[in-house]
Amino acid sequence: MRTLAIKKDLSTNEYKALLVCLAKIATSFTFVIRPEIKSGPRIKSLIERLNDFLIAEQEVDQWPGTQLFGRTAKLFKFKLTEQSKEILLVSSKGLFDWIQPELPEDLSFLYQDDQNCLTNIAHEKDAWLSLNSDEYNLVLKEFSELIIRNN
Amino acid sequence: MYEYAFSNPMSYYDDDGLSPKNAQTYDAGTGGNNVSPATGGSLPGSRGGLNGSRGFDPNQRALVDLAKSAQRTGVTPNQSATLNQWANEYNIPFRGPEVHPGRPQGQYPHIHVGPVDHIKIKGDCP
Repeated sequence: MRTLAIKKDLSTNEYKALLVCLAKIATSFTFVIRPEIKSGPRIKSLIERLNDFLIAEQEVDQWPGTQLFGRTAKLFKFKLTEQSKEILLVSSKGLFDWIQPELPEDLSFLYQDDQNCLTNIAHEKDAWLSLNSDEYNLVLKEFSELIIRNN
Repeated sequence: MYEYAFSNPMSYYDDDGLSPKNAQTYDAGTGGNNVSPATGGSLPGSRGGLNGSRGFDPNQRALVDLAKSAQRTGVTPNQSATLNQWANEYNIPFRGPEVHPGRPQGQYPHIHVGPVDHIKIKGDCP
């Protein structure tokens, strides 16, 4: 696998193009809700809209990119489909907007085998793609402007 | 830990290290907080500041100043828990303790208090 870091100043259009690209190669997505941070009304509404696509919901003390100490968060995993992708597209303007209290935290994408495709630490503005050779070439060809550097 | 603020960082601050000052009379424009919304900073998770352009109230500002001080020295797990409690009380976003293994930022255990990032946790995290 090869990793590519996402640039920190991703525009809304670039973010949406990235989501469209990820929908071609990922099969599910995740985010977390951290109890130590308030949850605004949009979070409940979003989870309700995504309910039909929910695969799993579990208490975790770590998720890709982040490990907590002495507390847990709730990890949600959803099926990535055309409909759920559309919900994501209208839910935020940027990859690093996935921060409580407005939205759940750390929207990330997974492959069929649950390996991470896009990992996101939104409050650090740190996100990266993990790609095999074919996907790497696809992303570089279609979305090279999204990438800042090899990780 | 907070003797410099009469052990009451919610009511007093000491931005110059010379003498505690009453936070109720704090001047947001000259208070020395260089990361507040009023001076261009923003709170993680609050989009442009806790109270929008109005910035922090005195209690919030006192806590942010305290967090800035803690950023220089690090905090123990117990002190982190206290900051967490005060952040909840004064409606300041608090994040952590957490670590981001192998990443450019946050490789060590840390917390975030409002706009103050990566306050290192000293000692073992629970």
